[in-house]
Amino acid sequence: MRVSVINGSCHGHQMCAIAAPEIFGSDEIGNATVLIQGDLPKELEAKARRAEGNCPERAIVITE
Amino acid sequence: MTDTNKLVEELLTNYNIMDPDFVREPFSKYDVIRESKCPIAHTEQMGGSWLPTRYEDVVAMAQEYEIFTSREILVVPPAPGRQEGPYSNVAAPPITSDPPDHHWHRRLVLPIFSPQSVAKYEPVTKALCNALIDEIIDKGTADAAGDYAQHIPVRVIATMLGVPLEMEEEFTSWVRGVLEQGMTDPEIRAQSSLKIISYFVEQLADRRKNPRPGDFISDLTKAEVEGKPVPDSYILGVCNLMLVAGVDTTWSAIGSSMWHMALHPEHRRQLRENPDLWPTAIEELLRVYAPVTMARIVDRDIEFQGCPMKAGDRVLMAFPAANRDPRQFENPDQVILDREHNRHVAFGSGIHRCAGSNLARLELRVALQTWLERIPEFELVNPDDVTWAGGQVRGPRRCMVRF
Repeated sequence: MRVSVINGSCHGHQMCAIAAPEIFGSDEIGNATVLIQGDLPKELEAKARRAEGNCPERAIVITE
Repeated sequence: MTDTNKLVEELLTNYNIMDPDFVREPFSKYDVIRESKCPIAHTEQMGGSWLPTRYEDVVAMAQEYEIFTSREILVVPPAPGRQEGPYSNVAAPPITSDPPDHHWHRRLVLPIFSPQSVAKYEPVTKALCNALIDEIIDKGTADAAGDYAQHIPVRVIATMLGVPLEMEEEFTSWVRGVLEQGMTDPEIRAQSSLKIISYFVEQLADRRKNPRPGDFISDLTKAEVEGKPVPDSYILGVCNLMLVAGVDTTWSAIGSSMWHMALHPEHRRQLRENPDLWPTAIEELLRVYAPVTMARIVDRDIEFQGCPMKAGDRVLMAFPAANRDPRQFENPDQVILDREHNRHVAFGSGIHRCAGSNLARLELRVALQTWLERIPEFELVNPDDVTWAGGQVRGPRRCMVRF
């Protein structure tokens, strides 16, 4: 599983970083950054789904 | 027509968000409108407005910022004379800005409010909360709204702005003048707004003469956009926003959450036994007790979900109503501290997402954690005696608890 943030869709709610701080962080203006490039470790997959389900902008894409 | 039908008809065509019954308990009214044949209500009261109540509609309108503009953001019409008076060019950027200026208006303040930047205010927030609790802990009763919640955000904002904490009382009264009394009294609103801006005119003059290192206002005087210094109207507007958007709102969220905790010993216990719940618990409290309703002004005649909207019409962005839409949230009226999927819009949606959201979250969490550490058991003195403010910002204004 991989995660990405759709360019321009994130408006910095930071709800992904709250749900999954291991996977998402914040850039200088508070928009989401992806901390793990490439495949996520298995144990973080549930957290990635949770982060996706907490984004009010539907800006997170999960590819399996 | 039956009495129930009449009540429904009244809400759909003639609602008044400042009606005492609406202020005290708006959620059942939102439910009636949301589940009716017409989930976007309309009224001619208070200058006229539309009221979307479904999550999908509120979010769609927030995303269409060119149609639903932010040239006015209060839920009532501007105070008479506001457009002509001194400082009439001072707004509250970026919340009152539309693109293209919105981009730089927002870009300059966002770094100040990023999660990493606001983290440095955690110790001072904690100290402020402890000092407030020191004053009440031996009394056995206190007003969780007036003695506690009310003082926290205004002191944090004063600290950020580099002005004395003694300004607290005046700041609070000016902000309430704009957002509470001002909802029904345009004269008070205009006067309060002028007091806020006049105060920052003095502060700005002082900082130009005596710049301070690492100071919010001094830093803005040095900021440049496309090689030019930013205009004074922008700096004054941002300071205005810090007060008007950063005081009543967060205080209301803290107050509502305190009221909730007073009524729910099982939630206090859950948080005590499992501190890992805090992050999701804060988001859930923000969802259920979202304090803020913003407005938008329709740019041109359009039909939205069958509603004929005219250029200049006001739309009330009822984020609190959206946050309780059962189409989006299972058991929307229930507080579930570990709710798994929570795309709440307490801070709005789209380009106007609340710039101070990370600070608001921090204050809410620290205020609740500090209280619960020191006063783990408490209850309402009299549930019927709690008073609420509503309209633009909803939260308790008196909430007596005993411990």
